[in-house]
Amino acid sequence: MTHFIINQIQSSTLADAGSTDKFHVVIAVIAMLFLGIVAYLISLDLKIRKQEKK
Amino acid sequence: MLKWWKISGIILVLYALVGGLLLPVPQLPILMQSIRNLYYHVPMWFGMQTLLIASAIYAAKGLIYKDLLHDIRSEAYAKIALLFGTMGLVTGMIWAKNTWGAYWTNDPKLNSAAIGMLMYAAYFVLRGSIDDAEKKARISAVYNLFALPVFIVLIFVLPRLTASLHPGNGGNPGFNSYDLDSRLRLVFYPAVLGWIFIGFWIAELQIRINKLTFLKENED
Repeated sequence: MTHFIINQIQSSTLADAGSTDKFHVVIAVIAMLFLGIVAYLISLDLKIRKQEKK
Repeated sequence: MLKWWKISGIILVLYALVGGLLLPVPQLPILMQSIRNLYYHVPMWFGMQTLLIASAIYAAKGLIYKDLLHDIRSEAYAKIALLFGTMGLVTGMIWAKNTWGAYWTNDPKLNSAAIGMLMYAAYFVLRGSIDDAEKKARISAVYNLFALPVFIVLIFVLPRLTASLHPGNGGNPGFNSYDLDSRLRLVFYPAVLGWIFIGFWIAELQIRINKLTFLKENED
């Protein structure tokens, strides 16, 4: 019985750790997507500035 | 070098995106974890409304000073406002599906938002139907100045007069009574400010592109 309970606790902890890792990956992907948009905006800003100086 | 408000926009939105998913939120019935969408859905509408006000200001300036550059600014702000409105609708529909059970309900705020968006879509149809630049600027500026108060009535006044599922409307408790421990404010206000800055940045890029095109066309 004790062995069963320990197994249950271990598996639930592992599952939680797994889902937390996945959650962090989701956050990292969202942050990367936003930073990609920001990089595009900055490059557009610089390109327009070049054209304006001409 | 980027201006301070552009850098602030990047930092604030990045903080809102990450903090919005990681920081603790109050556990409310029905809303549960979906309350986090407050950080993504509501700032879109704040961004849209601020941009629409800017668009109307430049429409008025265009009428007063008869300068086509003001019309370029007014159009760009309205265009980006419509983009923000679309994002607000999409995030709202996802939220509605998870809390109210349907992507679209017969809620007065939803219908008013859709009518308001269509009104601004008609603004672009109107602009596209006139060839003469000065005439286009004049007529669309007048339309813009009439559209803004109607939009405000549709979004802020009408939904409060009838039964609504939205917080703060139709006798429902508003955001302030949900936010008893101020945990939501820590992310919500930076998100609003950050998205407004990002919106103005995108609009500014659009304005500069349109200005260059306008100057090039007039050179030829």
